[in-house]
Amino acid sequence: MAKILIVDDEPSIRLLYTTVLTEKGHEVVEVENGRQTLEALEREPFDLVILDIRLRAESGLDLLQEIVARHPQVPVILCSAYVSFQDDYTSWLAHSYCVKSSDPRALLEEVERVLSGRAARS
Amino acid sequence: MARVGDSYCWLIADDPTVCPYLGPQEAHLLADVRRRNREKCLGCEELRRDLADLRRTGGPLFEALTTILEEALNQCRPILRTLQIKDELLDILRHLSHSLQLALDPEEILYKGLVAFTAGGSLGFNRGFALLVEGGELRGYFALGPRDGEEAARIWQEVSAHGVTLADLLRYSPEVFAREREKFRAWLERFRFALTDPPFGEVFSLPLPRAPEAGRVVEVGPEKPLPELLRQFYGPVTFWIVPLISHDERPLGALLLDNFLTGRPISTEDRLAMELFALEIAVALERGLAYAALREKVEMLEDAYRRIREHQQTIIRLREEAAIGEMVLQLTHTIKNPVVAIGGLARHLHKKLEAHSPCRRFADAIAQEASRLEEILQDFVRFASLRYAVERHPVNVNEILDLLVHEKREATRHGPPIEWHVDLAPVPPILADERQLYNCLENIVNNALEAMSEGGALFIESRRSDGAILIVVRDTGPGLSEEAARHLFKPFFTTKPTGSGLGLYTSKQIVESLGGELTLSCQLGQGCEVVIRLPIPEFASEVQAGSESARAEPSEESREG
Repeated sequence: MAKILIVDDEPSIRLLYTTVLTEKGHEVVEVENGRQTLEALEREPFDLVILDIRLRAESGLDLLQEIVARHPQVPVILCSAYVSFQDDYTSWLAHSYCVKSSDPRALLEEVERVLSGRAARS
Repeated sequence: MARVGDSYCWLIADDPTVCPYLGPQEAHLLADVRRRNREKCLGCEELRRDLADLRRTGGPLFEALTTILEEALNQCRPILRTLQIKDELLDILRHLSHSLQLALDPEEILYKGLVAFTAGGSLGFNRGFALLVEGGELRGYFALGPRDGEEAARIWQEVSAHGVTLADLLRYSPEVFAREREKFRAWLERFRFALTDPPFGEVFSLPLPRAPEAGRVVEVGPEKPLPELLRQFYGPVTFWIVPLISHDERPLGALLLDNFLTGRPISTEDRLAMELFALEIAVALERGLAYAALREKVEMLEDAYRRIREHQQTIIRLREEAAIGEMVLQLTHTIKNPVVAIGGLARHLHKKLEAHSPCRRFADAIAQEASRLEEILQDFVRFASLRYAVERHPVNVNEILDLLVHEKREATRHGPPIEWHVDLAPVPPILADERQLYNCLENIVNNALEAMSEGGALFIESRRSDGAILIVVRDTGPGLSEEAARHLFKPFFTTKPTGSGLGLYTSKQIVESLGGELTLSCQLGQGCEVVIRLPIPEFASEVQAGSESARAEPSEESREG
C-alpha cells in the first residue's frame, strides 16, 4: 500500500482517481496546484505523484522539473488528456506517461508498475 | 527664238512666248529675267548661238567671253552632279529615318539599315553584312544582297521592271528577313569575332571623330590583316566596316559593305553618308535592344510577383491550418477531462450498484456513452495530429545520421565521386519527431551533395558539447558568397533551377522548434559548413547519465491513449 499525491485542477478527475486508488488500498492526498504540491511533498513523504500536465494557470511540466529537482527519489506519473504532451522534452523526466481515460485500468497498471519498480530498486 | 525684234529672248520679261523651255513650275522666271538667265539661259543653246553670232559680228572680247562661259559651265557640271547625289542620299536618309521611327525589333532595324546601304544608285553597295555584339563578341546576324552576278542581274532587272521604290524596299516582313538570312546562313553562323580582332579592334578603338573627314568607316583591302574566316569569304574584294555605336560609345555591332560585283570605290561623301546612316541605325538599334531588355525585366518582375502571391497564399494557408490544428487540440482537450470524469465515475457507480438495481443499467449506459465520446475525441486528435502536428519520442541523432549516410551513399554511388568522412561520437537521445529530424538532416546533406556536382569530400560529425548535441555537416563545394548565404534561409530562396527553396528554411524551422539553432558559414571557393546545436536539458542528461531505468519509456498503450 502506498501513499500517493494526486495533482489535478479538475475536482471530478481528482474524485475519480481518489476513488479508484483508495479502492485498491492506497492512501491518497489531493492537491490542485504547484504550491500545494511542493508544500505537501515537503510536509510528508510520498511514494508516488500523479501529475496532470495542464494545470489551470501553470504548466505541469514546470512543476515536474521542480519535483524532480527537489525530490528526485519520488517517481512521477504524468497524466494528460492526450499524447501531445510528449512534444515537450521535460515530460521525459517523468517515470511514466498515462493518457486520461474513463477506464481506470491503464492508470492502475502504471501505478503498480512504477511502485513495484521502485520497490525492487530500493 | 533668240532674236526677238531688235532684242533677244533672254532680255525680254513678261512674254510667255519668248522661251519654250520654261516648265509649268517656272512661270515666275518670266518676270525675273536675271534669275532666268542664271538658272535657265546659262546652259541654253539659244544663248550659245547668240554668243556665236556676237563673235562673228563683234570683236575679240566676245571670244574671251565665250571661253570663260564654257569653262564656268564645265566647272558647274560636277557640282550639279554632287548636288543630285546628295539629294538622293538625303532622300534615302529621310526614308530610313521615317521607317525606323517605330521599329523596335533588331531584325527589322538591321534589315532596313542594309536596304538603305544597298538600294539606289548613290551608295548602292552590292552587298551588306550586319554583325551584332552578343556575349562580348561580334556575331553574324543578317546579310542582304546577291550571292553572285547572275542573281544580282536578276534582282536589278526585277527592280527596274516593276518600278520598285525605296519605300517598297524598306517594307519589312519577317518572311523576307528569313529568306535573305537563309541565303548567307552558313557564313552568318560561323561569323564570330572578338571585338579586339583586327580589323574590328581598329574600328571600335577610334576616338570620336573631331574632324568629320577623319570618319569611322574603315576600308579593308586584301593587304589588311583579317580573321581567316573573313579572308576566306572576301578573298581579294575590298570591303568597308561601319561601326554601330551606342550613345555612350558601347559597340553594338558593325556593318560590312562591299561592291564585289561592280568594284566601285567610295568617295569622301560616301563615307559621310555611311556614317550618317550608321548613326541612324545605331540609335534605333540601341532603343530596340533597351526595349527588349526592359520587356524581359518586366516579364521577370511579373513572374516574381505572381510567385510571391502564390507563396503568400501558401503561407496564409499553412498558418490557418496550424491555427485550426491548435484549436482542435485545445477544444478536444477541454472536453475530454469532463468526459473522463463522467465516464470514470459512472463506471464506478455501475460497479457499486447491486446487480438487480435498475440504476445499474443507467450507470452502464453513461459509461458506454462516455467511452464513445472519448473515442470520437481521440479520432479528432489523431486526425489533427496527422494533419497538423508532429509526434515526439526519444530519438538518437546518431541512428538517424547512420541511416541517412547509408541511404545517401547508396544513392550517390554512381554520381560524382564523394569521399565520406563520418565521425559520430555517443550522444544522449533527444525528444523529437524522428521523420521530421530525418527530413531536416536530409535537406542539409542533400544541399552539400548538390554543391559538389564535381565531387568532393563530405564531413559529417556529431558530438556532445556543453549541454548540447552538435551536428556538423561540411562540404568542399564551391561555397557561397556571404550575400547568397544570407538569403539561403529565406523561404523560397533557391540557387537551383528546380526546388521549392524551402529545404534549408524548413531545416532551420525544425531545429528551432527543438529549441536548437542552425548556423551556416560559407566561404567562396572553400565550401560550406552547417552546424546544428540541439540542447540536452540538464535534468534529462542527469537522469540519463544517472540511471538508464530512470528514463521513461512510453508504453504502447499510453501512446495510443
